[in-house]
Amino acid sequence: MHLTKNDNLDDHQLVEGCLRGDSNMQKLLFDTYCRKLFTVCRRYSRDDLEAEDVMQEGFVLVFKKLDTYSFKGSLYSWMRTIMVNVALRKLQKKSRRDTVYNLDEVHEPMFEEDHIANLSAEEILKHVQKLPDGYRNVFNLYVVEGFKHHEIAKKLMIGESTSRSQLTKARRMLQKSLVGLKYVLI
Amino acid sequence: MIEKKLDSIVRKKLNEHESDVPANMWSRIQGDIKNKRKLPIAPILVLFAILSVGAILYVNKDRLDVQTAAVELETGNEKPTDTNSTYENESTGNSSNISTDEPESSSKLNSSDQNENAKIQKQITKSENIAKNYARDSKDNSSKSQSVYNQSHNINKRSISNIKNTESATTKEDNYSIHSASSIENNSISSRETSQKNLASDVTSDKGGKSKNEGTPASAVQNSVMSNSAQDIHDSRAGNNINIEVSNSLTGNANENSRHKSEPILPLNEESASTSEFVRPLSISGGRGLNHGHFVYDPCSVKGGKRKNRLHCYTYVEQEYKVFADFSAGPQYSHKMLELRNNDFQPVLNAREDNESFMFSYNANARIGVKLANGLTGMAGISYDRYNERFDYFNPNEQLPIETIVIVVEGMDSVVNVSIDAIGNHTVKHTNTLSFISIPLTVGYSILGEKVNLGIHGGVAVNLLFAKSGRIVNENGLQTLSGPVKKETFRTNAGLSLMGGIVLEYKIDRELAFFVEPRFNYTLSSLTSKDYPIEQKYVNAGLNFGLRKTLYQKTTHKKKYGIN
Repeated sequence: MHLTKNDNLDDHQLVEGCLRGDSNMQKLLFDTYCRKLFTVCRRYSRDDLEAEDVMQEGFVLVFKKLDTYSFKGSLYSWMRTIMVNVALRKLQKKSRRDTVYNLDEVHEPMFEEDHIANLSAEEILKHVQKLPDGYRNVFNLYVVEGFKHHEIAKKLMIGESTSRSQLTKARRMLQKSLVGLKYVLI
Repeated sequence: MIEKKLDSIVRKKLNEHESDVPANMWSRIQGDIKNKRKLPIAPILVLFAILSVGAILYVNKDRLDVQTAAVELETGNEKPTDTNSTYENESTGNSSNISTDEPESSSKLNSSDQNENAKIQKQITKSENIAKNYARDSKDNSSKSQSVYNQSHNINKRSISNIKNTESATTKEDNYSIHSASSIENNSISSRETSQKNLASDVTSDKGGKSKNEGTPASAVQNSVMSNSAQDIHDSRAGNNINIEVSNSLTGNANENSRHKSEPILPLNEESASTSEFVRPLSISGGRGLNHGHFVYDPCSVKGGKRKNRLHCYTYVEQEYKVFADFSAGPQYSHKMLELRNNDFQPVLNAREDNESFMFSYNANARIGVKLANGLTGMAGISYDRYNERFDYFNPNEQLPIETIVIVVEGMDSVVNVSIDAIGNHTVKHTNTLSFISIPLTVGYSILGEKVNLGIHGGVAVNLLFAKSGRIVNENGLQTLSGPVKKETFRTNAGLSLMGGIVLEYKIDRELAFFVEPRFNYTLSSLTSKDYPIEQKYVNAGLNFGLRKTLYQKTTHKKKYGIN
């Protein structure tokens, strides 16, 4: 039997089907959430290729750990948490080849609300991807996922102050990038 | 305020956004799901157990077959014993037998006898095959055994032909009786096949009507059978008879025609007696295994000092138990298993899995053990295990606060402390070590062969000392395993672990053996402290090489055999 997204199966049915090893159900679960989850992966990645790897690894983990899903929160939230964890872990590995970030204190940029509001999600996403790994992670976790600084600190194994400062710098860098303003270094 | 507006816009746009997924994404995931397999620890352990049991059964196979065949033979000959006085008389060893001539005996051969004979012949054929297998398995002694086998075979053939030729040549003065040629032939064949199969268990030596039962190895019977022509007749004439009972009186060799001189049989010396397959004692009812003892040459004579009556005697020294010590060492693979106790610490788990990897491990054991005659083994000793792991840490966003003192001179001197954060990557490469000293306590079972012994054992290892050093990542980042961090992370004692192994032992001499031991070990409880959010256990599989020396051996001198 070939199932499609329009078959209106709820999460419970999807999970049970997947746990039975039904490949149609697995495909349906993937089709249902893949687009949203790919956005999550892209947010934490530098480019789309990296995001694809994260998504692939994330979904494998989702199917592997599906038996531990307790239906307490939404299935999407549970899957998104897995994707975020996989992304952070993967990026930590890849970052080993990266460069050292130098001191980068910047002035407060001008904020043009209308300009940013008019930007498409895809454009904003591209700019987020351009942020350095550390900044991007903290920015995503704080702004989009809604974590507190102490939670981020625990998740990324950094100090709370580091989390705060990186968020500040990420915001400034993103504003600079979005509005195209020039900043003056001290 | 501005920040919040920016956050709000970005959050709203990104949360609602859906991206196009590459077309081949699902096939990539599907491929990964099929290929993703856990380390099959449970199947490996099950396989380990099955192989062990299989190996034990395989090594035991021949012995079990022989025992089964022997029991069958016993059963198969019960009827003839009941119905044919020949068997009865021979089993009692008394001279109350009635000599019969051929026509009379021939008349006794009714159809049921023939059926019985056919059955016995069938069993003989089966047993002969088993005997041949035994001979083939015995690498060291195959030539000796085969020559003895051939001699026995030829002589028995000759005996049979002689019996046929002198069917009616019975004498009443002899204690042996011959009821019929066919029955004698049967008996001869029985002796032959029995001696070939090493099924003999008892030698009855009658002196002056008194019966003395002695256990005998097959070759003793075999040799007795070989020499039955000369020896038995001589004894019979002197009023003594030596009845040879094989597997509960299966065989009786009382042959008038056995007067003829048999070919001289070389007596087995101590070495050949103790190593020959045909000299193996096999106690069918006793349940003792093979080679739990050895032969000691003990010259003696049955009667007087006449040379021709002199027997080559052997005492079978049976092992009750022996105490041994061994030392072994070898490499092992240590598979670390980390499991979350608290889901909030997934990042720590991830970091540890990323940072820590297996380098090499090894184990060394010194043990003392006791091996009982029935094969049961108990061992205890001291064991040292060392796990080495590579710790490879990298943090791209390490933040290092730097305090700078700025002296400002504007009219009056003032000092200002400025703190700035330096962000950079931080790399640490280190070798973490975990060391264990434990007391292994195991029980097992050994199957003893001529040169090679096979044993399986299992039990627990009680940890005495657990030392660890190196670096670790926890919720506070990179840490050195010392002081409070070590205390918070690891337990002071590793507790119990399950262990087991298969010992394949090659005897260098009677007291020294080289052995190879595939072994495994599984830590039952986590090595981390109760408050630490991650459980840490190990499964180890290794291969040890070592030497085993017999320190003490308790033996009893039980059986004595006369071999002419």
